[in-house]
Amino acid sequence: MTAATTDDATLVELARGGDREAFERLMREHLDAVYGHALRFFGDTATAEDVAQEVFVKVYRSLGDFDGRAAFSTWLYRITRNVCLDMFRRGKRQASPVDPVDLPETPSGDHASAVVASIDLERAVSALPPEDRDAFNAIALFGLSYADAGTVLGVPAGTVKSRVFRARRSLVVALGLDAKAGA
Amino acid sequence: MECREAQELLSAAQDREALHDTTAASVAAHCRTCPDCTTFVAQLNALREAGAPRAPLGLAERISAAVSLEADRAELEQIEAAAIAAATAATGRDTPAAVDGSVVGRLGLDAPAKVPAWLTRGRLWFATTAVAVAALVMVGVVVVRTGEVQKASDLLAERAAGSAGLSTVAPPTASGGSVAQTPPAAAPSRIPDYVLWTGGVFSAAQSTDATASQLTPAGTMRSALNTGLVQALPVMTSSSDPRAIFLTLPGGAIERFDPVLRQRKGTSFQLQAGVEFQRYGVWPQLPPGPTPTSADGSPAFVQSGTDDAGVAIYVRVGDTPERGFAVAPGTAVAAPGAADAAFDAAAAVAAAVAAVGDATDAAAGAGTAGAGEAVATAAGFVAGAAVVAGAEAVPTVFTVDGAPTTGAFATTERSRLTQSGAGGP
Repeated sequence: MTAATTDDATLVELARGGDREAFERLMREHLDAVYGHALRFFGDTATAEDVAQEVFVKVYRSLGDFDGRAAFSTWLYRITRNVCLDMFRRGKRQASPVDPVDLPETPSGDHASAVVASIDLERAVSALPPEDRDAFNAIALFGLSYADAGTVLGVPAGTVKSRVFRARRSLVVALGLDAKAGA
Repeated sequence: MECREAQELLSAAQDREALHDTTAASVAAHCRTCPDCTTFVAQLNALREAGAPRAPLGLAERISAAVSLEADRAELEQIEAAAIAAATAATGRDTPAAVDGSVVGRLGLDAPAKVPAWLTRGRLWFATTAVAVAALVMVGVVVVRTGEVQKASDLLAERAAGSAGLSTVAPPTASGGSVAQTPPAAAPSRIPDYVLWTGGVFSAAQSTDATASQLTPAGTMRSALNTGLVQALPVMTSSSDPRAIFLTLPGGAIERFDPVLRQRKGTSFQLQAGVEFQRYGVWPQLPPGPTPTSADGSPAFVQSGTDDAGVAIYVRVGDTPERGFAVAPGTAVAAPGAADAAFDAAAAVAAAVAAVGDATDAAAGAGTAGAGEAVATAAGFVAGAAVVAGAEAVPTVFTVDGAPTTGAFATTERSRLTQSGAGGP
C-alpha cells in the first residue's frame, strides 16, 4: 500500500464518520484524475465537469458501502468509468469525436512548449482505441496497478500491461516524439 | 531480449510494476547496447512530462456545493422518514406509499437519493430535530382527518423552506381530540430574495448573463436561499460587471445577484446589514452603532431630506447623510413612499417570532455559540417591539460605497424616527 492510499484510507474513514472536510480533501486530491478521464472520454470540458460532479456525488452517497478491500482510487476509477459509460448510453453525450486523422501533423521541430505538448497529448489520448485509453487512464491518471485495473476492466493484468504499452507507443508516434528522438 | 519485450518492461517499470532482479538486469543490459530502447526511455519520460488534464478553477467548489445539497437532501429524507414513522405510530395505520419526494419535490430537487447508513452516525442535533418534527407531524395528523400524511409532508416542506410553518400548527387539545386548525399567521411582507456578502446586501436578479468560464471565484457564502437548509455556495465575480456577484447553486446553475442600491445626489449607496442572515425572507438589520443616547437605548434620528428617488432619509443626530443614512423599514427600492404604507407591523412581528423559532431550533440542534447569539438577537427584537407598541423594527440602512460603516448607526424603531420630530414617511 502506498503512502497515497494510506492517506486516502484515513480520509475515507473520516468522511464515513461525517467529516465533510475530509471528504473535501479526498475530492480535491482526486478531482484531476476524474476530470481528466471524463475529458479524454468525451473530449468536451463541460461534459467532463458534469461527470466529475456526478461522480463525487455518487461517491459521497455510496461511501458507506465502500468496504476498503480495494484502494479508494480503484473504487473511484470504477465509478468514474461507469458514470461516463452511463452518460454515453443515455445518449445525451457524445463520446470523444477525435479521429487520428484530425490530429495535427507530426511536428518535426522544437516540441518544447509544455502547453502545446499537453494539448496535443490530450487530443492524441482521445484518439486512442477505447480499451487502450481506459487502461492508460487507469494507470496514468488514477495510479492503479495492472492487477487492480484488470479487475475493473475485466481483463488479466497482462492484458492491461499490453494495452498501456500499446497506448504509449501510439502516443509517441502521434506526438512525433519518435521523430524528435531520431532527429 | 527482443526490443518489444524490453520496451514493454520499461513501460511497466514506469508504472511501478516490480521487475524481478534478473529481468531488470536483462533490460538494463539490453538498453546499454540498443539505441532504440534507450530512445524509448526518453520518449516515455517526455510523455510523462506532458502532464495530465487539470480540473478548471471553480469546479471543486461547484462539486462541494452539490455534495452539500446531497447531504441536506439525505437529512431531509431522514426527517421525513421519522415523521412518517411517527404519523404511522399515531394513527396505527400503515404508511401510505405516495409520500415519497413530498419534501424534496417542493424544494425543486431531484428524485430522492438513498440515505447511507453512515450518514446518520454521530448526528445528535439531527436526531433532536427529527424528534421535534415528528411531534409536529403527530399534531398535524390529529388535526387533519384525511390525507394526514400528505398534510404532514406539507408542514415539513414549509418548515424546510424556512417559512412560518411552525406557527400554523395548532396545539393539541388536552383530550387529544380533533380541533380546528389555527389560521396561519399573517404572512410577512414580501421581502426580496436577499443574500449577504462582505457586509453588503444583494438581491437576486431576474436573469443571469454570465457563464462559468467568465467568472472568477471569490469565496464561499453560507446561505439556505429559499430552502431552509444552509449550504456553502461558491461566490464568483465577473470582471465585466464588478458590482454583481454570481452564486453557483446546488446542481450547478449560476444565479446573479445585484447590490441593493439607492442614489443620493448621484452617489450610490449599498444596503448594509448589521446582523448576518442566511436565508431569504429576512429584513436586514441596522449595523451596530455608537453608544445610544436616548432613554430607551436608541440613538435619535432626524430626517435629512430625501434620496434621489424622493424617499425620506434619516441620519443620527449630528451626523450627515454623506456617510450613510437610514430609510423607514419596508421601503421598497423601486417604489418610493409606497412601501411604507404597505408595510405590515403585525406581519413584521410574526416574522420575527418565526425567526426566534428557527434560531431556537438551530441552537438546540447545533449547540453552538453562534446559534445562541442568533436567539438572543431575535429575542431582543421581539422585546423591543413590545416596549414600543406598533413599532416595526428592522429598518434598513444604506452606506456609502466603499466607506467605513462601523459606528454609523445603531438600532432604532420607526416610532423613534417619528418622535424625533423629523416627520416619518
